[in-house]
Amino acid sequence: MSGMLRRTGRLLAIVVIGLGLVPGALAQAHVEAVHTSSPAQHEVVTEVSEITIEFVDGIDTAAATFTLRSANGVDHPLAEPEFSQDETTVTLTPTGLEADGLPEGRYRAGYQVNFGDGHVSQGVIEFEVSRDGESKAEPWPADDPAPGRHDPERTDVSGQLPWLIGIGAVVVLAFAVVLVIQRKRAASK
Amino acid sequence: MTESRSGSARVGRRGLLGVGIGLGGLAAGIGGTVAVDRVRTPDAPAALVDFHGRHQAGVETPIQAHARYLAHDLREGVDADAARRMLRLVTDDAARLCRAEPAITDQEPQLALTPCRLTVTVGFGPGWFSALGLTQKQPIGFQDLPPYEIDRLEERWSGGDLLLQICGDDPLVVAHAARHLSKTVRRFTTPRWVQQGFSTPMFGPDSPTPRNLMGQVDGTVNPSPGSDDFAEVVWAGSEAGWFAGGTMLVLRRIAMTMDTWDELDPHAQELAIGRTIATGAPLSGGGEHDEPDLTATDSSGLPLIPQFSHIARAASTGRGDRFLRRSYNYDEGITDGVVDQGLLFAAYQADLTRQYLPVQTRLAEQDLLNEWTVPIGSAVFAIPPGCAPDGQLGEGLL
Repeated sequence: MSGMLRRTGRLLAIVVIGLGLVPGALAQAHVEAVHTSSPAQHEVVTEVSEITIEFVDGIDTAAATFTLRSANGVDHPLAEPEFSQDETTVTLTPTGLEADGLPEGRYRAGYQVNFGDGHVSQGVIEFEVSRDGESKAEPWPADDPAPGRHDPERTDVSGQLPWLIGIGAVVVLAFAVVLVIQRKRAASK
Repeated sequence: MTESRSGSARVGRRGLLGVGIGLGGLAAGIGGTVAVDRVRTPDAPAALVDFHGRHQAGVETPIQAHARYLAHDLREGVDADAARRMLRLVTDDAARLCRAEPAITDQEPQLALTPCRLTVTVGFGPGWFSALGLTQKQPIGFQDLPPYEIDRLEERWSGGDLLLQICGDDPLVVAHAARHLSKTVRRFTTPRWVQQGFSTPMFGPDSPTPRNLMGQVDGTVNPSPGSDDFAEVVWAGSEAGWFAGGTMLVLRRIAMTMDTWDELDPHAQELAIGRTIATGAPLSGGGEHDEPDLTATDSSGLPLIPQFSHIARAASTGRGDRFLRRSYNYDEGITDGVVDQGLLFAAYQADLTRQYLPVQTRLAEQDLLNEWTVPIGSAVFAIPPGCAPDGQLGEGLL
């Protein structure tokens, strides 16, 4: 019986691979673009006058887009981005700030860059400004995911997943039934 | 007996395995079909495309499945009279072949008999005008492209005095027409290069937009054949004198570095293009033929269509920089150990200086797709107007 289970398992694996249901095959590798940032991702800080993002490699500075948007949807204009000499780090400075920097609240600093190889990476650095260092905001809405945090699949079969799993199950079941019948016949001979 | 039973069981399992994989493939196929959501055009009936008319065929004609572009250079000593005689022969041969009739002196007449929307389109390169002393009559706006930093042009795919563009749905008929017409012109010219390509054919405005080998739809923003818009974009107007009703072709052989393109995840590919791969819809939303909204942003204020994506850079600025894309894919297999695939990018416009150059300049300056596309051939041709059944190509020029 254990042999049959092993075979069934192997078959199931093949069918699953045939259906493209291996999670690793579906989820495309996400290339992390940001090495570090200040504020850091999801950091609560007391004061922010500029945002620094260090990318994992030099970026094409002429083809980079940066944004800063608060949780209530207000865009904050940014001065011309300043890049480090090796073009790995950008400093974003919101314009028209009070002396203590950005007002309290949550923010998203967005980046859309490529590393000179045509590959666009985009995402956001989310942070909160709170004068006393305690978070005061609600969590980011679940239906409003940060862009670029996950890449879509080549072919989105998620809506057909139940069907595909069902077909796989039927195949495995049929296999098991035939094996059992064959064994019974062999035993009766 | 035991051996036999064992064999039977083994066969049974293999059979089941086959069923399993088959069903898996079927399911994956269903997934792909649903995701792509495009209707395949059924095979269209064989047809003839009239060679004669105000415009040459093979431009406004819905794209056929196969194409051959043949460039020739004029032989030393060929003058305007000889060129006129050559064009009379070409006109007569092409008209017959496009009627699915053998040309005069056709040595394989059987190969001409299959109606397959064959078109023969003739064009003149800059060298044609200079060699024949006709520079004064060169259409306004017709010129060689300037060099671009992205270019890696090879002589073997570039230039040419005379173009024969032969398209059709049957590759055998196309090859035959190409061979015959090459013989027709060889007394007057020497062959320079031949490029051949293929496309999913279109049979009318409702045919799905063909895709290139990167999987992109190619030609979404084309003007609609038969429309005033098409005429304005593609055909030279009455102010062009003898060239009225003609058009200008820019043919670029663009190698695609498919191996590195394949390393991109699908969304990164879409960001480089600015459209979804599956439907061709712009990343700003809507359907394939909806206008891309280059100002649309996501919840973080980032542009949905990156500013240096291909469609953002190629988008018309509203100053007349539009043209007809009628491109073919090429696939030469493996060359020097590298996949040799790409696009025979063909752009047709009334005035290439006014309409094409601004777009090419923008794309050469910055286009994310430049990472995976390398222009290795380039040629321009003035496509003269068509002719009546009792006329010949090149009338008014020669």
